[in-house]
Amino acid sequence: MNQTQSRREFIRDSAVAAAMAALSAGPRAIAAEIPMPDRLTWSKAPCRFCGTGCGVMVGVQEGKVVAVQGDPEAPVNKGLLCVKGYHAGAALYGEDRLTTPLIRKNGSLQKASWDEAIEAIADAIMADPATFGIYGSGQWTIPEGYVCMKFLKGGMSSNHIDPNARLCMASAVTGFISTFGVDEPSGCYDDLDECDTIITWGNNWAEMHPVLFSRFIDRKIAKEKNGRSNMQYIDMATRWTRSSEFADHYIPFVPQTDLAIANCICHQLIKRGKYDKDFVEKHVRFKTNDGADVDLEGYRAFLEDYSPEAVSELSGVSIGHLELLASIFADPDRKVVSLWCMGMNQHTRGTWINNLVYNVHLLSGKIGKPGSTPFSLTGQPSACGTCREVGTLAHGLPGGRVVTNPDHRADCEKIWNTKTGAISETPGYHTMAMFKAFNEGALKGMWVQVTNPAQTIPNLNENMNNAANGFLVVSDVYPTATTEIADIVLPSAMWVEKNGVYGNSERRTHQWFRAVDPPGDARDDVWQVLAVARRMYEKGFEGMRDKDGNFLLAIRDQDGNEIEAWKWDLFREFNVDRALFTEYRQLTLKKHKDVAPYDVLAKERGLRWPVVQNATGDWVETKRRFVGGEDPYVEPGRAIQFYGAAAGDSRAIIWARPYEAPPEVPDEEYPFWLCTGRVLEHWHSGTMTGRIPQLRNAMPKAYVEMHPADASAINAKPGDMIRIVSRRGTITLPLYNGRAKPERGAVFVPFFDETKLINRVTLDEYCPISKEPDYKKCAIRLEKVQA
Amino acid sequence: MRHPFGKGASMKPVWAITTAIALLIAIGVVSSTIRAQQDDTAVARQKRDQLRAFYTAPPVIPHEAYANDPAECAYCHSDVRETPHGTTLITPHIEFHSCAQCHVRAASELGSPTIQSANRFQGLETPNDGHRWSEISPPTVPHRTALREGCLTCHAANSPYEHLRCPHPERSQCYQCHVAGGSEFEVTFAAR
Repeated sequence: MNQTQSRREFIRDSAVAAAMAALSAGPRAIAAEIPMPDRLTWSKAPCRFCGTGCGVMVGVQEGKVVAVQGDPEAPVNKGLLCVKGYHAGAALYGEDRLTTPLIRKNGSLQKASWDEAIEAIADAIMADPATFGIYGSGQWTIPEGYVCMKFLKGGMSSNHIDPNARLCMASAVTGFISTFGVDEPSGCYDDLDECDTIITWGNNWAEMHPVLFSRFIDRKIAKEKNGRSNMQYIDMATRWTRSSEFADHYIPFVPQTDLAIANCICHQLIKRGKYDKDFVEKHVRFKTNDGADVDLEGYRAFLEDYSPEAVSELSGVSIGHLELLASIFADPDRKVVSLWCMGMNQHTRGTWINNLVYNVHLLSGKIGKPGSTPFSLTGQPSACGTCREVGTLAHGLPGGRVVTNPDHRADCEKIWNTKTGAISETPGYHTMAMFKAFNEGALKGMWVQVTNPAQTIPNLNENMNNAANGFLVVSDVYPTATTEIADIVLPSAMWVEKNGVYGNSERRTHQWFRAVDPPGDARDDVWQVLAVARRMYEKGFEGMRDKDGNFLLAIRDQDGNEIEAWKWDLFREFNVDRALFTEYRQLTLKKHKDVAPYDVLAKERGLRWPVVQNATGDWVETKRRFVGGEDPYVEPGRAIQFYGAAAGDSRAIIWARPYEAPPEVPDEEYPFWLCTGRVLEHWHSGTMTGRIPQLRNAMPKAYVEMHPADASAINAKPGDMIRIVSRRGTITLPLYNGRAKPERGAVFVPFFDETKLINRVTLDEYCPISKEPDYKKCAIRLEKVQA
Repeated sequence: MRHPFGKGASMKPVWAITTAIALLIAIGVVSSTIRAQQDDTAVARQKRDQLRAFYTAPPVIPHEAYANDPAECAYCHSDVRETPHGTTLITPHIEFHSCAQCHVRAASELGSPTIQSANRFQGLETPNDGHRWSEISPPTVPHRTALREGCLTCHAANSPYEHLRCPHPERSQCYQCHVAGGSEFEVTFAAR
């Protein structure tokens, strides 16, 4: 203070100082502590649920997942998720989470140690290795599927491995392979952004691939609000769903007549001369149903039966609608994406209908162009990445190979360093055959991982009524219908409790790191297989020795030193995923399914294969396969090249597939169609989503949907109990009309409810080519249960 | 001690004292208003949190709704309206039309769930009010703005969230003064 201050100045300065003090005592304290969430870290992962493969951010605080957000950097979803994705973190914390190994003793499951469980499994396998199978999953990570392949096909010379993807994508696979010679789509999600028309073929994507649906529909509605839109959404369906609400045209058809409708479109295109002659001449060849070569004229003759008049009669679709569909494909300026999933794949002629939709796009040249492509949507998060690409099928080997091909076997034997001839050339049991064999005792042991067949196999009463007699090992995270009949239950780490890699519908391989620890004594599925394999090796099982006498499933670090990964502590310290994926990657190159190196994927929100390193060392993904300028494997100068063609002529095949009626149709005794499927809130058998309060409360139990006129006819109103009976089983369900609406003479039941096993009622007939059963069609009768 | 009104001001002492006293009173008034609001805020925040599994989760729909058709949602949620269920909130993201993709019902006509197991999930807690440097400074935005770019949906002058009503809605450039207070994602690319 200045000594020359006057008294007034002093008072003034003091008052001001007091005011300042009042102000400064506050802000100085606040400024020091900007409130931030404590110790919250975020890491990236693909969502746990559907085949869309959204990128999520997982928020972890004090060792627990506390939030999940859409990843704004993820090209798939750009920051948006669906209700399941947002709540995926809660799936880890149901209170009945499995945390200890369980072994059945004296009829009930008792707590056991890991050593005991591993020992028991190794002993059971070694007692009769040829009758042991593995039933895996499209929710397996890539390393999980790969290690099982090496274990069973390399180590046990057995091909009895098949995934639940057999029940969901097999028809898509056989469709791809018969049409293009290789599996998986040419197009990608970018085509959803560039098209003007989308046609869904029996697919309720508003509930099943919600983020893809809104990606398209929000763009369409925004454009319409501007008043200048030529965009169209056409929903071809067997029932009115949430997707239909947004459609410009809802086109209901009699189940199975999709086969005829697709042929009808082609019939009209050729009749009117409105197909892409140039494209067909350059890139297509024709075959009869028996596989004989035929020319365009022969194909045209085949299509004579599929006139609009004839197909309208068969399918119930109006001639006007059939002509509308053809006119869309006839318009060379229209950019059309066809989308499908279970409606076409879970089909007794699933392979054929996949071929037929490709026919429409090939004939009209609407493939391999931005916004024009037939796009097979994948249901599970890694049916592509794991089952299809790693080849975890009874006939498969990694990288698009098959066990029946000696060169393919040799490739894998080389990478796995097995003895020559270790891999068997005889395909093993496909899923339905596997469960039949297990039920009858021909297959004595089975290891089920990441799936719940005792709820999801069709015609359960016949296919799993004796399953409790076999030796069943189940790796899962919660008690399920399958753990209930298991002999050994292994508590498993789930999703971000372990490292992982998934591959989605658009060929995007997406890696994640472990973010939290698994609970209790739960351990990674990869570790479980390594531990069993090691025990077998120690007990002298010859197959677990490679060509040099070393442990076949040895995990080595980058210097070649072996990590004793069968020991849990050491497994956790080392990134076993990286070692397995790096080995697997070598096998992806042969058929141009190159995946990126692990360390590259670790920094990306997934990359679409083939991923190839360019001249400047960057890893570049492929948006559209077979397209010149985008796919590095297309020969220079070619606009499009179907280089996977089996005949080596780079042509896709248009197959003359006929309409064939389903094996069981409504008749006098069983006058209704039964269709089954999912709903938005629940994933598959509801083991995870059923334990998330927000999802469970929104969709608490299974129900049956009926057309209002059919309900009135039996005097039933919502809430009334309806008994449903098929030739195979019975179920009673409440009538509910709050979601979708079937056509007359048809009902729908979701399969997520563990107390309402609709698969006791469903039919297990399957496509003879893909072996995939048809969950969408069988015949039932129904009656109202009198109170 | 710096003079708040500039260096070496030659203000008359009477004005200085009056100003100082007025300042003290103003601070007192502002503080007590903020404190009263904080009590309402706590109640309102609790109500809001109950609809969400964690901070930034999409809220569940606490009322009956025909969720298949977004036009039904927009009928109420495109403006602030008085309804039998309470005052509606404008959706902060009207450009998304598939509302039911993220927002599901809190309860169903189908009744109570078949699986009754409890869940131990503890969601991320809602942060406190935006941080202010001083008690009359513009608060930071304490929440993520992704999917919430429309500030006025919650902060409009007639917002049903009384404690969130912006006192100056005529100013359109919110981000000029209100910056993000928390971090966005800092992604971990390394193994634990």
